Amino acid sequence: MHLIPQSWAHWHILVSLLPSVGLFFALCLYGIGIYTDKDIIKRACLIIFVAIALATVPTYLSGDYSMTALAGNPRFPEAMMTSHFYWSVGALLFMAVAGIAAWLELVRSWNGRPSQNALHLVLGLGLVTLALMMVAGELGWEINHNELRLDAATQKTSQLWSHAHVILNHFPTIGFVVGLGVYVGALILDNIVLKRAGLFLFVACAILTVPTYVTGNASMWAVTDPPIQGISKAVINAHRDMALLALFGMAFTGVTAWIELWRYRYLGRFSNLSLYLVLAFAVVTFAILAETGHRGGQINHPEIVLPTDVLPTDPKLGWTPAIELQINHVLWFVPWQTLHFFGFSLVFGVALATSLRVLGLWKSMSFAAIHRLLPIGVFGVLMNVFSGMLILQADSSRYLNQITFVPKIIFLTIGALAVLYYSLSERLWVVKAGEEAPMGAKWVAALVLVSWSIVIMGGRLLPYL
Amino acid sequence: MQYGNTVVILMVILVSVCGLGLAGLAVYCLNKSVDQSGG
Repeated sequence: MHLIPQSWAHWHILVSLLPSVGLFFALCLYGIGIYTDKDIIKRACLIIFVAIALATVPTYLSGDYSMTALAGNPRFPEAMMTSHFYWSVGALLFMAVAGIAAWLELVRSWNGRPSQNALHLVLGLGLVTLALMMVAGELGWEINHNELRLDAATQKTSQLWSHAHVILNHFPTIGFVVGLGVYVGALILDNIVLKRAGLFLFVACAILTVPTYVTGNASMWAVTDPPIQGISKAVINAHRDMALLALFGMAFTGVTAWIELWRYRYLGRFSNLSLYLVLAFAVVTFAILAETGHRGGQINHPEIVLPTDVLPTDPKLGWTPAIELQINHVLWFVPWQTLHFFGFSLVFGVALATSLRVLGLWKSMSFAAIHRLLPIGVFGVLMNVFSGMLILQADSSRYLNQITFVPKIIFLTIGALAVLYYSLSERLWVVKAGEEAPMGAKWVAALVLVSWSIVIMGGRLLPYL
Repeated sequence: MQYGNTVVILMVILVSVCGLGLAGLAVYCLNKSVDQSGG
């Protein structure tokens, strides 16, 4: 194993994620900062933009050296590398300009408020850069991932799953790095707004881990049945073992972070013990994520595997294959399935009660009173993440190829993110007994109800379609 | 076969009680922690 990259291609795979996926998270946080008019978030994001702009230098250099190192290798077509190179140069140039604009505004407004014009200029440049990065990133992923170009008619499991996993897996990991940076900065500065932003990022990344894990399971079938030359099931299983740990690590970090956000509403302050507990979970989870990503990279990146690397060869080794065998027994499957149904009952019950209050029912209660119910729903989600991922292992190939599975996972992600809004919205929190919730919140409530209904219907139909 | 069914039922009860019990305990502790603050 070599976690420290020892080739230009390996360096490029790592650092290129900062100006692309990292920029996505920075822009999301920046948008929230502008929308909520929190200067500290805007400043933190300007600093992140400068850091991302600096990362364009190693991204360009490592990419250039990788092209030289891989030239002549038939696995990496010259035309595709050239196309990726030109789009990337455009994206990196825009990122550099955005970084310079962010730095100039930081310096100019050091002792005052950032100017609206400058903030929107940086936002515009960031959005253009992100659009260019999406094209460059897509072209970059396609250079190596030959499986994406296989004939769809010959595939039992669609390679769209592999495509989705190749893209999605970077979001919880890089988002987590951005979150960890913001959170550590917040602890050093002892700033409440930044602490909330860091905790929010941890929760959002934990939610994104669920579709990432599911697409990963489906990708395994897509690249092993029928088998693809050079891709080993044993190496995939080593990655899956660590991915399962990463999923649970993210779930613990996300729920602990959410609990602190929830408690803050009532206490008006954070508990230092809880904040450092979240940090401890986050650091351990980050280490697991790094190893998960590293093992994932070894599946289909022969250019980064060293001759000294010892890769697993026995596909039966590891705890994921053992779970697959065990969970297929009725003695294990039925109890976890029962717990899964209890989990959904909790989630839907809380989502329904909270959303109906937001939509205008039970106006004799303030939103703060109904907000008390949210932990019950969150623990329901936690129960379902554990039980759902175990159940999935029983017959993942069949579940993942059912027509209702994709909407179930998409709306589970949307529903969970929408519920996060209930925990964070300042405008909702101040809705007193007898008052109407804001119209925006009502739309979110409708989205929550529709999303969780589709999740339940999608899941219930799985065994029958 | 009858014995097998009994074991499955006991496992369902055990896993459900453990899962719901842990969630219930966590909700109780959380509520208590914010109640004590007078919030």
